[in-house]
Amino acid sequence: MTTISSGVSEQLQADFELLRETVNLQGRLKYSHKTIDKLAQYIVCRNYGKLCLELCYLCWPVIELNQHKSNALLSFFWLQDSCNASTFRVAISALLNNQQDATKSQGAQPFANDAKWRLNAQGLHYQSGKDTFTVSATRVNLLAAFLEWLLSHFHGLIDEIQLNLKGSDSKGVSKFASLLQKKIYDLLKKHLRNAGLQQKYRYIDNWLHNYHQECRQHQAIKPFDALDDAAILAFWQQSGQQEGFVRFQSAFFDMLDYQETQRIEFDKLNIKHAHSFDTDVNDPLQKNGLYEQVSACSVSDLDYEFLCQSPKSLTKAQYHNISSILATRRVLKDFPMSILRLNSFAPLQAILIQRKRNNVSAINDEGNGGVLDKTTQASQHTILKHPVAPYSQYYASLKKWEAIAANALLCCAAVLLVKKDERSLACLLEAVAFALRSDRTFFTQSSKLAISHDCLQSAYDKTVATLTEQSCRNPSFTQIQKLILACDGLHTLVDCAYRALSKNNRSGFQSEDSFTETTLYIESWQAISHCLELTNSFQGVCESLASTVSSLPVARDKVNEQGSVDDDTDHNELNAGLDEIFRADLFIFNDELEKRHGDFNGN
Amino acid sequence: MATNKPTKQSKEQSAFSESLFVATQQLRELKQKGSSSNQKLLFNDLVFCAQLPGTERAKEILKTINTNLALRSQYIRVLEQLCWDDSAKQVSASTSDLITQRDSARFSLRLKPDPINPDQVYVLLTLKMHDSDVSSSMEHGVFLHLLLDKQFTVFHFPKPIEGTAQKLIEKQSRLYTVLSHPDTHMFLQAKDRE
Repeated sequence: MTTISSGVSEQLQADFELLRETVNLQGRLKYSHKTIDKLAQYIVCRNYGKLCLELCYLCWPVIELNQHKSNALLSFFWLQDSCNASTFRVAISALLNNQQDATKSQGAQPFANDAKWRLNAQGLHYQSGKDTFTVSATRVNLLAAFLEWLLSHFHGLIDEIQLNLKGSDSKGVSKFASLLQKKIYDLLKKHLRNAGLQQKYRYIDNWLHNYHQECRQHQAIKPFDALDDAAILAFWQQSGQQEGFVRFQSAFFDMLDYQETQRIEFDKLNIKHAHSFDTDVNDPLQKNGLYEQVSACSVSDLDYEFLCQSPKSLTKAQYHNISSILATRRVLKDFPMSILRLNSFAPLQAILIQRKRNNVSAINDEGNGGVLDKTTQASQHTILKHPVAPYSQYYASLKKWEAIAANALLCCAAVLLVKKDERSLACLLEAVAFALRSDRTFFTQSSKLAISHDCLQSAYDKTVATLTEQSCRNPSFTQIQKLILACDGLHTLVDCAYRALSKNNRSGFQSEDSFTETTLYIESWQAISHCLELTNSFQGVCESLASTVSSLPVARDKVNEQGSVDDDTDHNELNAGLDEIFRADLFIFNDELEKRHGDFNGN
Repeated sequence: MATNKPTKQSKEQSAFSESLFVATQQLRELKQKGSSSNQKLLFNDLVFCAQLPGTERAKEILKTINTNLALRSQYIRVLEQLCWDDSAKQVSASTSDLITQRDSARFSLRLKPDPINPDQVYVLLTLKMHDSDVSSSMEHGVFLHLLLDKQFTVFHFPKPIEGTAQKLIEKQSRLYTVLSHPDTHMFLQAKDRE
């Protein structure tokens, strides 16, 4: 549903969703998620001048070197799918070789102004007299995605490009790039709406200033300081009537975005654009490096959803379990209660909002007769079936998640061992370290590993001792193989990893035939490690939070010593502390959600 | 850790912060998944449909193309660029006259009644220019993309042998109407793979 505060049209949202799912004729993903995210960033920052020029300088030789083909661009970008660095080099190389052969046989110069193209280390280099331009091979995926997006709005663009660039010179290419830029500028007026978001920004800014003023007057409450959990909650409670802040999730993330923009001091950055071909030269956004600043914001990076693809380390549900921690990773220690509230209450609120929408459409639907349709009945049932999860439950789910992630990491290590990669040892040690720290369910799942916590700890300690003794740093795979034979601790760890792999039926892990490129397992390892650090960090924050409520000391130190909370008393205290906080929040949220969405408790 | 901010910022910095906030919010919206139910196609989908029309995905894409004028125009352009040859609308005394034969530069199509069963008709395709390169590109057969009354239909021939291929269809079928209609625009396309 489009709200007034939505800054992007539904069509533009659909465009980018489609781009992310685009597959080539062989069924492989054509544009990486990073590419699409980058393209989205260029579009929202209205920083597409250089993209237009690069695209034109890419299309120009494809057309000129394929003079006999009327479908040069279609063939290059879609049939051959020359849309990543390696396939691009192969395709351009073939075109240049064909052109050289044709030139030799005809003794003629086929291009205007004696222009020349050649492949260099960076990419496709154009030179004619003093005019030079290089299309970097690493940018080709982005440029191809850019062209794909443009074609969804300008249906005749392929023909227009061919008509304007064929037989052209560099001036003609620049001119066409400027025209393209102007078309995009006009297009985005319809699809990027700033007014509502500017209003939102000013509302938040105004509210926060007033809030801080009040805090300063009542010094006993809190000093004028920072945004915190109490401020987030107060903001949400007081903004219930404001469009765009009905959801707690929206209020929280919008406030974080606001905070981030204040934090970034743009005068520390020295931004230069290599080429500036803006038609609107007075546009300050282009001058102030908005694209680079957005890159520094947390919305721009960290997409680990590839962990749900091949090689599949996590299911979508498992990834979703930690998605809020990933989204708030920079502020885990600042807003722990808001993150817990988000996890527990946001799903319920989403169901309530959906139920309201279904009720509205049921009322609008003639002949309904006031009877709830099946979708509404289902959502009612969902509310009853899945009551709000207490904070202690989320904390426990994180512990279980760690066990799942550690197992996935073990499988990655096992694959790297099979592939005889020297990084397999480091991966294995990290996986075991995380496994030892994780929930006990890792070891009670005896069908998977058949090893106890103490045995694994002992094997790990022996391995570390051996490596230290031998001052073994960055061993080659041959050295690793020798170590496996010499050190029974390492042998045990390797066995454990292979056992975990043998039980793994997920894509990319089932058998040696299904293994994909090594880099994907390395990337998965890095991503999972990062996620484990973040979840561990957040658990520490939860434990500190619980201790502020509980009268007994925090159990954190005991967790570090033993690798898990195996002291039942401390575990119960932790849960008690978290549950007490949850009960207080439940009262607040129950009241607030009823105000916004009506009675949902069946009263 | 959130930082202390003065209560007043310079006008310029405030404007930039606002722009940064707007861009961040818009980027967040573009990264959302499952947010839209618009039926839209990318150029890539049109190429896929043209190259692999026998697949289930292509059949779904074609349904969408058939409902949208802009997509149809773009798809015609794609077929023109990818097809081996095409046969435009034919001249006839009236649109009620059906055509049992049509010739283009590189192929001809003939509709011949089945002598045994009058309810069935043979569709005979003859390639006028065929060499080893052409034959190998049609190893998996050929598709005839048929456009009539703003609707695309696809007809598949098996691999041509010595430049000819044939298939049997029902005379009462829509396919026969489309194949024999003078207004039908035909595009011949080699099948990419099995």
